[in-house]
Amino acid sequence: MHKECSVPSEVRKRLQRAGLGRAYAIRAAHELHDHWRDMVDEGMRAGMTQCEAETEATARLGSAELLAKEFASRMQRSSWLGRNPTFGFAMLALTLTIVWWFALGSLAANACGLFGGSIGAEDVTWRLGLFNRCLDGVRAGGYVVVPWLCCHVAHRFYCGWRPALWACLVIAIHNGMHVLRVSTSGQHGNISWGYSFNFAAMPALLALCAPLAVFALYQAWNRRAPSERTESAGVAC
Amino acid sequence: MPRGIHVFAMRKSNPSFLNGVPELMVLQLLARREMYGYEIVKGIQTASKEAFAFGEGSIYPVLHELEAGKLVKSRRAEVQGRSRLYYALTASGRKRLQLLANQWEQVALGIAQVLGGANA
Repeated sequence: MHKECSVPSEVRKRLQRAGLGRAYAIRAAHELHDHWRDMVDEGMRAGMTQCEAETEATARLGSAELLAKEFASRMQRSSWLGRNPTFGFAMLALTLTIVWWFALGSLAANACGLFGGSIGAEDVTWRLGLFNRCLDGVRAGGYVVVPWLCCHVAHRFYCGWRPALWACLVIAIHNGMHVLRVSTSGQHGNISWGYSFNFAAMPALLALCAPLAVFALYQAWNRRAPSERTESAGVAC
Repeated sequence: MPRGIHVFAMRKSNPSFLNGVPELMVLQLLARREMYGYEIVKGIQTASKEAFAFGEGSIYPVLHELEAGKLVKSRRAEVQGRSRLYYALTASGRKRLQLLANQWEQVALGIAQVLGGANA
């Protein structure tokens, strides 16, 4: 019966702390654990006692700190986003924000009948009012969905937590300065989109905090320990 | 810890022109047949007559990086009651191997010429 080695589980914890995906961290720990078991078997076949074989195998596996750094740096280098995190994630955050507003804004405008042919003067006011409320929904959804997507991309491409936090900060700054106004003039509606900062009035706290809260929740969820089933399968020790 | 040249980045003494050597060795071994991590380490040690020293766990970051770059692919297989992750070369991996092997031959030739010149 094998004793367990602490290196794989330490590597898993360090990778999760570095912001690499939980599934990936578990997989890496699993492979290191299997390798360790193979080395112990090899040592015992060579005539070592189990204790000696385990000590030797742990030394041969390498230090958890260096292994975790090696995993993280190699995986970060494996994608363009990982190699260019500052530019890449700023662009990703802004692109996702634009796509989010454009896609859902168009959908909302269509649903409110604003793309229809002739709209009566009395219709314009309530349709634009409805459209305004839809945009509030799009805005609120964007506070959560866009940062979540950025965190997901950072995990998917093994970029770590720092680029994800940077993207969420970009989104928070965008949310704080972004202005979208819908107004009516006669039979026409106007939509104005822009950025401004009013020093007299602070931007809405929710707009600034929501992306950072999503980031914190995503990281906390990712750092949870493996389930008992996974542990009993020898994934972690 | 075995003596030898430290080619894996875990070692701070890794000379920069040895970058790409772990990839080259792994790809070369996988070109013969699919293997799991432990087999690859044993393969490197046997083929190089233990010329290279590295923490054995550091083979996995190399394998994962190659897999992320689609140079190798992995599949899980049950062998003698143990579930193992086998790695195999892809078509892009074969091309990359050819490129790295050519580069390495040029480096080796250059070093041989420098050493030959120094000894002349």
